[in-house]
Amino acid sequence: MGNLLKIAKKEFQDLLSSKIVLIILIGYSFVILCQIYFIYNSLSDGMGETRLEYDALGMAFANRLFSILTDSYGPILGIMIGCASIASERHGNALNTLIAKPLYRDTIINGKLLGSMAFLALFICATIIFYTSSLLILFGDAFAPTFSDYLSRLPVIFALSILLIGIFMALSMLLAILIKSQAFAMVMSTIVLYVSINIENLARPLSRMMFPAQEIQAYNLIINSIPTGYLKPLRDTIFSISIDGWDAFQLVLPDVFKFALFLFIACFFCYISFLLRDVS
Amino acid sequence: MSFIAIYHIARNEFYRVLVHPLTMVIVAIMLINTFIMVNGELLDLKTLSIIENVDVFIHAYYINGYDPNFISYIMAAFLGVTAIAEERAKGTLNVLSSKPLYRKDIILGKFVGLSVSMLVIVIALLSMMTFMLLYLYGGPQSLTEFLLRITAYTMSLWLELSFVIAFTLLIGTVLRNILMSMAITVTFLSFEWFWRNASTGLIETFITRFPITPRTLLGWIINPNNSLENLFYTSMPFYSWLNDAMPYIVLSLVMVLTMLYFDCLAVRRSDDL
Repeated sequence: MGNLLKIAKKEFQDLLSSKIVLIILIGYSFVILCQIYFIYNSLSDGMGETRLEYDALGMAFANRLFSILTDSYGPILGIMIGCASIASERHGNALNTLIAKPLYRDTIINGKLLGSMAFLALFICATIIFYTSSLLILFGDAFAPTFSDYLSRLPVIFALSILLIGIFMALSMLLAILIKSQAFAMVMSTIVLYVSINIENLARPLSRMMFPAQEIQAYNLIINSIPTGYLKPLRDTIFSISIDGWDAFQLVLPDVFKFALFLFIACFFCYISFLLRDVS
Repeated sequence: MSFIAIYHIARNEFYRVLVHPLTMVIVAIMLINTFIMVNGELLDLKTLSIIENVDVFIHAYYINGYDPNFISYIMAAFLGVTAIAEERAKGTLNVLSSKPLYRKDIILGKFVGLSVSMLVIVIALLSMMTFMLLYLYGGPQSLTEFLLRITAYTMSLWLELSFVIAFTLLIGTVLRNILMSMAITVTFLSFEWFWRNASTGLIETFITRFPITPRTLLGWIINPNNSLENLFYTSMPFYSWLNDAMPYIVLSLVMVLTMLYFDCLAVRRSDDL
């Protein structure tokens, strides 16, 4: 347990000082600023509620936050963290040193997964704090009446975001373990994200082509089997103004478990490949 | 500058791309993707034939244009960034630099090789789609219109990808670390394809006024008037489109040449060659 925590701590510190992660964080910060600017513009011209899609402002802001963390922006960050986690050690031959230590291999990979997830949690918390405080500074008066609605949705947003980004992080770690060239692993992870997003577009034609008699059922089956596609129908439940935050959380709890299962499977493959493959 | 040397390096680069595992992955993905789109989604296009002056056969390339564009973009970016960076990491760049070659010949040879191989891949991807559409629809309304427009599309796509290659070659040359180069490339790619939707209002205005990124330039070449009619609408005469798109085509060429100039400059000043 002690070794596990030591490796997790080292992983966390490595990610904090990683230049690769820093680059993507700078890009990501720009996206958040753009979103805040968009909200500012939307509210300034008096068309805010129409353009922000939801009646209640708190809910609209929560929906935007959910988009920032999940709509392909978060998964890209997950990919970078996953690649950086394995690649940096491989590149500097530190993995050889680590493997030569009197440690079980599963301690190393568990520590890496734990440290990366902790970093991810820190990143999501930082994003939420930065975004919320910016909105409070800019639109405090308009935001205050619906602020409790906004706060009540944050646990669901946090849970689903960390699970979704975690899935792509574990997948990119898996590819970084399996593929020797780390640059190639990074581009393959990006292609996996593209395929995942593209399956949403292909689901309808595929179900129409393969199962013309049960098109809707086949479509739902395909969409529900990929994390990015599965997330979209949940929005209506999470950001419904007719239910409170706790009810929304209870309604999406089975989906949270399903996402956790996706993450578990991705981590399991990562774990197995690290144990069996020659990663030095 | 030695054209023979550039030719040899380009040929070597061309073969590297052809046997690269990424090429096989990309072609396999596109084969499955196109097959599903043509047999499923594009069936809806048959209803479009009732609209005047829309050739369904040509319009299908517009409907399914995102995927070949995105996937070839990823490939061009990856190959561009690794062309110099991977050779540097393996140490083979030292072997190349010990030969009687100008440094700019190396970078120009690599650019030509990558650019030609991307043209071959784009033609292969679009031909694959053409064969599937031929099977489904029987052929375009006018063969001349079809050939003109698809050739123009292929060339525009090639121009975009050449720009991407020249830009990523620069990243791979300037940065020593291959992973850092790749991280910057993926961040740039994310902005071009995923994140720009989030930038509504801020950089969208900037990009619309100053189309300087590869994807934006391609968008302006295909739809130069920012209207409902573009290259894929036969209601817009081809030469009228060409006339409107010419400034953006020239701008793309200028951008590619500028990037190449910076590539040559960067490789000349690089002290580890």
